[in-house]
Amino acid sequence: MGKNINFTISILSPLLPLLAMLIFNKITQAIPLLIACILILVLILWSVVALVRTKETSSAMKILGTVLGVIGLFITVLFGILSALTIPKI
Amino acid sequence: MNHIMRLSFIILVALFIRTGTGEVVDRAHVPTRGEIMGWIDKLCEPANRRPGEPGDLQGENFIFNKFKEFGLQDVTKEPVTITVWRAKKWSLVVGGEKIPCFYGLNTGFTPDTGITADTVFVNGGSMEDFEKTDVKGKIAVIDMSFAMLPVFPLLLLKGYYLYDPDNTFTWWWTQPAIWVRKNWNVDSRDLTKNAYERAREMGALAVVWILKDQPTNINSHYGPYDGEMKDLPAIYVGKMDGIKLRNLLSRGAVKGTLVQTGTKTPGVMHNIHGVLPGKSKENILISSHHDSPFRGYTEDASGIGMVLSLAKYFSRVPPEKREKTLVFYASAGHFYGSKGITNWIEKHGKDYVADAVLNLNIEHVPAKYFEEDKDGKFVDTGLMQLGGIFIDNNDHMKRSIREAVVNNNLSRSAIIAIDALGKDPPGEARFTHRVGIPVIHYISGPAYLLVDADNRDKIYQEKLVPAARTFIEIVEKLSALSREELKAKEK
Repeated sequence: MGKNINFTISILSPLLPLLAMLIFNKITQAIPLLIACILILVLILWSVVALVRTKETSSAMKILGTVLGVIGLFITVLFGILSALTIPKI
Repeated sequence: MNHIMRLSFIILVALFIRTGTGEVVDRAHVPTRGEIMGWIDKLCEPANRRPGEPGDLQGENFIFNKFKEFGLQDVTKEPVTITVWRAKKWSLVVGGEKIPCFYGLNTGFTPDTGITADTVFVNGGSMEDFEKTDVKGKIAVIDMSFAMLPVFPLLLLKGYYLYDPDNTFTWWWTQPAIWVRKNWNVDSRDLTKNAYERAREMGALAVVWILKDQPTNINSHYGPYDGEMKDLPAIYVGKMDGIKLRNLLSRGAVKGTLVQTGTKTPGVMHNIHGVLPGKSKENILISSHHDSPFRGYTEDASGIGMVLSLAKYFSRVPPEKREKTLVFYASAGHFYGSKGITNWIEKHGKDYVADAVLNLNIEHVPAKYFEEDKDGKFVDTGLMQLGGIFIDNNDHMKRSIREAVVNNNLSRSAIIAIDALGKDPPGEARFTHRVGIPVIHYISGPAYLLVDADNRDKIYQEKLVPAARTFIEIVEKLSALSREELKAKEK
C-alpha cells in the first residue's frame, strides 16, 4: 500500500508544482506559492527516497518514479526560486 | 472604563500612524473629478488632435489659457513647423470584394484611380517570405506583428515594485505592445525589421498591412508616427478582414485596386510651457503631450489632465513653500516623431533643461483595461490598465513613488527600471532621459491607444483624483531633495 502511494506521488510529482502555480496563479501570491513549493519539495523527496528504499518495488517502478520525481523536484525548485525572487517586488 | 481606555489608545495609535505616513497632499486643493474630467472632455471635443490640425491648435489654446488662469508665469506657446499629411480617399478592392481599410500615416499617395495590380500575400514579410513570393509590380499584403510584453519576466528582471492589491496579474499575463510594430520598425536601420522598406526595395507598388495582433477588427491604426514622409502607399486592414483577405489570396495572386489620396501641406504646432517659481531655481519639469490620433481621451488628454491638475494644485501653494521651481510643459508632435520635445529641449538647453533636476512625465492615466471578447469587441474589465512607472535607479524615487502609489491606491502600477524596454523608456520621457535629466515616467499601453476607440469610456474616472494625488505626493516628497540626491545610482 505504502509503496503504491510513494510511486503515485513520484510519478505525479512534475504536476504538483504546476498545480500549485495554478492555485496560486497571481504574481502577488508569491508567498503562498513559495510555501506550497517547500511542502511539495519535502513531499517529493520523501516519496522518492521511500520508493527507492522499498525492497518489494520493482526496479522499473523505482527508475520511473525517480526520473519523474527528479523532474518534479526541478520544477518545484524553479518555481520556488522564482516566487522567492518575486517577494521583494510585490 | 477599560473599554474606553482601550478605544482611546487605539485612536491615538491610529492618529500616530496617520501622522507617521506623512499626509503631504492638501486634499482640499486637489482638483475634483468633475473638474479634471471637464478639462479632458474639452480637449477631446474635436475628432482628433493631430499635429497641426485645428483640433490640436484648439487644444493648445485651451492649455495655454488654463496655464494663464492658474497664474503660471512665462506662459509661452512656441511654434514648431511641420508637414501636415492628410488622407482624402482610401479604399481596397481585391478580387471584386471591397475590404474595409484605413490609411497608412505619412505613406505615399496613389493616383485618384488608385493602383491596380496583382495582390499577393507575403506572410510576415521576412527575407525568406520575399524570396518565396515575387512582389515586383504587385501589391504586397503583409501580417503586422506587435511585440508582446510579459509582465512577470519584466518585473523579475527590471521591476522594483508591483502594486496590485486585488491580485489581478497571473504569472503568465501578457499585453500586446501595439506601438511596437515588430516588422515595421522605423527606429531601426536594420532592414530585417522593416518589411515596408523591404517591399519597396523589391519593387512592390503598395503594402497592405493586416493588423493580426490588434485586438478587435479595428483597422484605424495610426502610425508609425516618426514624422517621416514615405513614398510607398500603405494601408491597414483589421484582423478579421485580414483573415478574409488571406483566404482570397490563398491560391495565389488576385487582382486588386488600392486607393490612397491626400495632401501634404506646411503646418505648425506649438509647445506650451508655464512656470511656478519656487525657493530654488532648480526645477521639476512636469510634462505630457497634447496631440493625439483621434479624440484621444487617454492618449493624451488624460496626461494633460494630470499636468493641469498639478499646475492648479501647486499654483495654490505659496511660492515660499515650493521647494523647487515647477515647469509645466505640454509638448507638441508626439505623433510627429516627437519633434515638439526635441525642439523644446534644444531651445531651452541653457535654462529650463539645465536647471531641471527631475522630469515627471505623465501619459495615459487613469486608463481602463479593455479586453477583446469572443465576439471580437472591446469589453470593460473594470480594472485599471497596467501602468509602468519608469524611473532611474534611485532609492528616494523608489520609496516615494511606492508610498504615493499605495497611499492613493493607484492600483496595477509597476515601478520599473528606466531601461526595462530598451535603452530609453517609451514615450516623451525618452528625450529628457537622453539629456541626462532624472526621470519618473508613468505610461500605460492600452490596446485601444492608437485606434479610434480611445473614447470617454476608456477613462477610469474614479481614479482621476487618486492619480492626481499620487503625482502631487511624488512631487512634494522629492522636491525637498537636492540634485545630487535625485541622480541615478552609479552602475
